[in-house]
Amino acid sequence: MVAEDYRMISMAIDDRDMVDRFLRGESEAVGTVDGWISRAAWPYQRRLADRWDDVLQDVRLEVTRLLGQGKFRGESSLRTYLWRVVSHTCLDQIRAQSKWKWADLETLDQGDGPAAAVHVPASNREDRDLLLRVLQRVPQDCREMWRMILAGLSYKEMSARLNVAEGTLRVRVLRCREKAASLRRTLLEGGKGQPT
Amino acid sequence: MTCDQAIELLPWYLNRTLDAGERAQVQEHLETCGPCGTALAETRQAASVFARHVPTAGLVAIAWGEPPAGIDPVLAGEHLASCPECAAELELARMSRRLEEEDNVAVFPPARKLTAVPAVARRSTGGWRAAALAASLGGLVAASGWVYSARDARQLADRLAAQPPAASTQVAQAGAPAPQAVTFLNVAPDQAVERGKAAEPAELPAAASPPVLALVTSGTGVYDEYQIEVRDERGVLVTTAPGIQKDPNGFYPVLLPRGTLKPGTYRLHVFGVAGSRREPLETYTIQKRQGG
Repeated sequence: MVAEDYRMISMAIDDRDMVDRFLRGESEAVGTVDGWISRAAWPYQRRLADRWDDVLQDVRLEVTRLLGQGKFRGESSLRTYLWRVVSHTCLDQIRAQSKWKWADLETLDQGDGPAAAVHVPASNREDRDLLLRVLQRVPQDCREMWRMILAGLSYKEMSARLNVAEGTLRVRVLRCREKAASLRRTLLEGGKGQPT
Repeated sequence: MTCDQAIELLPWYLNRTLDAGERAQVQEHLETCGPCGTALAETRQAASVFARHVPTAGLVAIAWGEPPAGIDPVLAGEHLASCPECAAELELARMSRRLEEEDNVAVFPPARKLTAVPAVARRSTGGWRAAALAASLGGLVAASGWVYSARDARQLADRLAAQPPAASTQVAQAGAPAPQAVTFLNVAPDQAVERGKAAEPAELPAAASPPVLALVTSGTGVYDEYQIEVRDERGVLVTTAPGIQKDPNGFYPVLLPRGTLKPGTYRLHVFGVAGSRREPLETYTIQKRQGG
């Protein structure tokens, strides 16, 4: 066994010891982990400013949950592992706060008549790559317009921002929707995410 | 309302921005029109396509120089090249990684603690690792602004350029866009200015990625740690950063995020701390312009 191996084993033992002490609530270990969390989360602070304290607590809960469940298996250092957990959690929070109220929309039309009867297969049941492949093949201007819709802009706001007549805009958006649907069908027929 | 009119309005019916009258008309039409109900479902489906992004785990993996799990790396790269949201999120993750790699880079404002001051284990640093990381990410070193001397600037640029590429290039090789440049700004101490001349402020570059300030020091004193106070033109304290370690190459590395400071001129006062002793050392002048 070479010195490097001994060093890695030593580091792993240190990390396991740190996890044990953190889970026992020893103040030094808790302080160390909290310090890492604070520093790792720092770049996300401005984007999550409104609910920063809640986010930090969510991150800490997530870290405690993962360590408590033995998810840390020493594949990286504890420090790196936690850093990545923090980044993951903070990015999820950013996405959750900026995402179009899609969940709300899912319930919006329930009970609204025939529209509610048309069930759309949930995208999470489809190949993630497939949807991304469709997106990449849609013209850039379509993506821009739909990004605005997903950001919650009205067609009047979009018309003013893009300097096109409202009627023209509505037709263009419809064409983009049809284009996306057509591409999706093509890719589906061509096999899992493989264009024909 | 005709079917054509209703169908054209569906995206905004779903994002809830139609005015009350239009909304009621669309809703009324949908209640009696099967084909338009199908069109509504197709509109939702299209929205789910346009709402796609690189999964969070994929972004984190890329930030740490690994191929993104669960997604084709080439596809992820293509998406990152055309999606400003994902690109911005990736930049945040990369900045976080930089703070992991280089824990003697101070941040402004200081990272807020969850509990009382923790005893953070400080790793010894092996030199200019932030710079090495930046170079490995394909970052272009922009030693702009007022530098200590032309020779020092050249030496820094040479050192950064000599850093070997790291594993983080995997995704780039797989077709991802070139990572965003990391900017370094050499800032000389005001004391280096000739007697009788005013210190010329180092101007913060208007880069999308925040610059790492390399506060050049020729001081040889040894202290346990260093503190930096940032004061505005009137001498009002803006923020402080304790616990800074001097880089062995003679810099105080400081990460100054975009948007932290309002436009204006600021003085950075460095103090050396040894036990209960706190001694003033160098001062540095920086300037942030409007829109910078």
